[in-house]
Amino acid sequence: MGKRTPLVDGSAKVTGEAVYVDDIVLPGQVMLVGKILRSPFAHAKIKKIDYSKAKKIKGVFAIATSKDSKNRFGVLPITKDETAFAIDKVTFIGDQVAAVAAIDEETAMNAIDQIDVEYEELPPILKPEKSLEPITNIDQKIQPWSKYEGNIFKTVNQNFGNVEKALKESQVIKKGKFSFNGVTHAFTEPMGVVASYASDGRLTVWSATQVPHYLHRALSEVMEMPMHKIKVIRPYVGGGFGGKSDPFPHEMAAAILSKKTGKPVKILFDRDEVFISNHGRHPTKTEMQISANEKGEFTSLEIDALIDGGAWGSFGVITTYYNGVLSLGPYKINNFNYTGKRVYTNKPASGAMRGHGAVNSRFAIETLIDEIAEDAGIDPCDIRLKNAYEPNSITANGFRITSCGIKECIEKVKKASGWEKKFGKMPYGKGIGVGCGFYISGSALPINWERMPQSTVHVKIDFDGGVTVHSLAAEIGQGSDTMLAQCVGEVLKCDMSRIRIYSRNTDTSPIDLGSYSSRVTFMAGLAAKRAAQDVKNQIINAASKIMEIPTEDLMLENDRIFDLKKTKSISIIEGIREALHDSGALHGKGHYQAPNLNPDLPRVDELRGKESTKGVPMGGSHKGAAAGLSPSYSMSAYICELEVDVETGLVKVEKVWAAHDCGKALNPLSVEGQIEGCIHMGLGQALMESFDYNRGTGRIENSNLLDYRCIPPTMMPDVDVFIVESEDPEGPFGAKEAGEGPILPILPAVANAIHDAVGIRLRNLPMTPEKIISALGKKK
Amino acid sequence: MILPPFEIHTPSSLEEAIKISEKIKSEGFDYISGGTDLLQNYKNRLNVKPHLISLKEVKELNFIKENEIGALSTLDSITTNKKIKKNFTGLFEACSQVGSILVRKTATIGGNLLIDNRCYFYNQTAFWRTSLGSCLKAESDECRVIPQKEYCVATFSSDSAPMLVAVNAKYELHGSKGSRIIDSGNFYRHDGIRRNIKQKNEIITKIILPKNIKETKTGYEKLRIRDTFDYPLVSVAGSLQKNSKNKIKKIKIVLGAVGTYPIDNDEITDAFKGEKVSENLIDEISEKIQKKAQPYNNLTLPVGYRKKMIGVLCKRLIRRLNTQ
Repeated sequence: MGKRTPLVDGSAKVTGEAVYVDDIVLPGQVMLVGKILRSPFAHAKIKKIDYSKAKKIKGVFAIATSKDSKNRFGVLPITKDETAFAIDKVTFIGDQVAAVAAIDEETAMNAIDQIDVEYEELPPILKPEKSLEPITNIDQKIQPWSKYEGNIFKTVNQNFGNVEKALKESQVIKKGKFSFNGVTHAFTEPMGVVASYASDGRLTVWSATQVPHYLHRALSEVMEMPMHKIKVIRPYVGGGFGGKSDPFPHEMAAAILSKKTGKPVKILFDRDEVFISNHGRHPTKTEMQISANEKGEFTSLEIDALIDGGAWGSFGVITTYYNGVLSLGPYKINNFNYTGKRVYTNKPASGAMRGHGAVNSRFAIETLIDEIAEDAGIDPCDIRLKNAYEPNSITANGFRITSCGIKECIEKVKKASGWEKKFGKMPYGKGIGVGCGFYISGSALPINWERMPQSTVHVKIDFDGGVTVHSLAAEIGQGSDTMLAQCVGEVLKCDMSRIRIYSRNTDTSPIDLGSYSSRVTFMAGLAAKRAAQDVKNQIINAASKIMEIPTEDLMLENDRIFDLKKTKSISIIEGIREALHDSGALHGKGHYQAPNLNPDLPRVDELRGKESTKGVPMGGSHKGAAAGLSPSYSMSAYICELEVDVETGLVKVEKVWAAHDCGKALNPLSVEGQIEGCIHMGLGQALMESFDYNRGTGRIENSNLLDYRCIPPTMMPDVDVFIVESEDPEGPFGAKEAGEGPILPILPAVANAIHDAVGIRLRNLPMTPEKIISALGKKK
Repeated sequence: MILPPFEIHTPSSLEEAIKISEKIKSEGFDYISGGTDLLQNYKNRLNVKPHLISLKEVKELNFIKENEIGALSTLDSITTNKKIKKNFTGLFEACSQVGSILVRKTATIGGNLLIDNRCYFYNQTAFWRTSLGSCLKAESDECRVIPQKEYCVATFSSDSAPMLVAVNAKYELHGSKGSRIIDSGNFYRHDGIRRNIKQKNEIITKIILPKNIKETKTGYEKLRIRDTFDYPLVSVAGSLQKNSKNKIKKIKIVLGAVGTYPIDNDEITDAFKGEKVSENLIDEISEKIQKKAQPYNNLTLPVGYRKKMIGVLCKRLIRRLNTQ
């Protein structure tokens, strides 16, 4: 624990032994290939689907349309607006209209071409501003069931303190209008699924997913089958970043086609289809205002966000809250107004992506803070230090901040980067900038409001002494299997090689909500620790019998059980066998549920003079109090140094100093990897990544990885990582998240460094060379 | 996306390749060497042919000599050749900026001279094209960049060709009727579909460099957002020869990724013969070239910015050539 530990599945990946969806072949069975017919129109009524020609093609086994399934699904139970196939109308280019199962890919593609669909085109609604307008006839409503006016999906209004009053007492006020293009996760492995409906009436689905449990539920609803007759298997997954955290229509299509044919059906996406499925970061327009008093203390924050959700809800309710509430750390801001509107448009749905809901607002906050610092004559690092929260604080909206290493983060990077010698002092074209971040470590409130733990882990030990860990936490490349092995190994004091992780199969793994919202280390980690503790107690009890020493005088070390003075010992195997002899099974269980006002911790509502609200763990009692509520928060501060080519506008990021408070790094190797990966992804959104839509049709124009540009390895800057360990009081062994928060600071750090280099403030992402040249031209 | 079905032929000599091409020409074929561009287009179902004739085994085309480069030489073999780097720096610079290292290990110089022109509305998947109605160069009879039905404005995207045009290199072509030698400057046509004067079954066999290449200063500037992978958004290739009095004997500037072919600017640059290279002269040439250039709006960055960058890159290049 706490050592740089190679991932337990690393060798399988580098040798090619790892089985991904693409590799799955069911022995002795004819594997059919599924292909999807997609809408070429952004908004149109489906008048008629004629697949008679396609059906006659040799090698075509089945064709599925909305006639085969009309049940709605969606990751949030309150906004189920997706179906396996478009019913009556299509709502974006790429909407799934029909699917074919055929003997091979060529035949399936040919069949897709032979399906005639008659559409009646409707005017597409592509601009989010347009979606705010009231509708005059129902055809203009993208999702007719939505209860809000026009094509609004969700509205959030939150007010804390008194902004008006605060503004009167403020010395500096800075505001700006920001706009953010959509970006994609660009995970390595395109989505893929295999579904097999067997003769015993059971359905097995292998899918590249972050959320096997939510897929399990959605399949049950769409297929109208009880969950116990469906098995979801998560094979190796080539990255997710939030892009595989919804149940998807293609997964439903594979299941439907397999049921129709009685044969396994495999659907693999090409990259164009990945872009079409989107669920990436929401394009957003944000107006923001921050004020500070004469001491440089932030007095108020106002945010108005217009969030482009595309055609489906996905995680959108949460996104709408997050754009506001996650702005309330890591700085003390007691007066806050937020209005957020997420709207439907005729574009592929936006969804969750690394740093969900926080990235865009964070960019705006951190760049405005730089402007405040400039006006107030305070160093940008110092103004952040001055306003940063201390441990055990309560935010304006009732977030309970426990561990908090933000000040240490800022101090570390300030010192390491040589900030004082560089900021404002480098030659024209070269600059340095700072940015901070604040993110949840798992959502305290589960998506499905049920009496069910958020994570459960079972640990089993048999006569061979091997430790089997069962969990449904989805290993998607982030290292969760390794983390589980470490947590169990730490409790049982045994070698990692003794531990086997089973985290793929819903038949054998207890429920875990999945790999999203940076929840796995905190929640599944605690469940694993507790399950291991349960087993350990049983072994110690058995050893106590053999050794005739009371349990409290026994301890585990290096696969042996010792008395406290280490005069007597037995091997752990002896202890295990004794325990098994008495019971036949050595099972441990552990679970995690977000705390309901632990008496040892600050009681949020009490502190604010209110009664706690039933059902809402921690937090305040206002509407939406649970959004963004987390058992713990991660903090980070980055400094970035770069050079702007003032003739071409090209930016070369030379160095990043990155400090992140993850509580305790269970595996520093993984934490470093996450931080570097976040910087890579964040630099992409900052400088070049963007969903470009055709203004007339709503088609994504650059739906390939040549025209949609991610940062290539050759352009990655040097990164110095500083892991700050604030020892979280509740996290497993003191840990909290490190997978998403570390993306937040890099984008504003780049923008602030560009300002330091050439004196321009860019408010539209990505900050492409032509925008830089245009801004430099205006400055002259 | 899988490749479409095709039959592949692997001749081991030039003559055999030509023979095969004659046999299957009625069915349609493409030559393939590295395939790094062609196969991507095939995956996208762009102008797919039922036959591919691979030139990989035609070993006689794989060589690098003092003043000749075999068409089958990989871009990597050119960039790692020390003599080319020294004597023809511009070709080294151009080739080393093609795609990524993986592409350059496979891709050949002959292929790069012949790569298909590119356009936002063309280099897309089959489904993508259906949703925008496709284009002149693919299934439709209408251009999506400039609404008309007469000509295609897909952008010339080779990095090496503008450099070869800038030094007046020649290409040797071999076909049914034997060999012929063509000036690189006369090889390309002003059309994104019928891109050059090569007969369908002709093969570029080698590039013939001018004898004075050693005495010529050459260089290549490429605008791209990423320093790897990207095709040029605009590019400037140039050559400069000076006389004994340090005055311009000949200067040639060729633009890539601006129009449908490598565009020379001889009518601008020829006027400066006999002059001394100064900052003012550099500005004047660059401004004139920038003013004349008309990039089409069919690549990622806005046309205005790309046009402006032509001037910036011209200046950088001539300055560099002058001090080389």
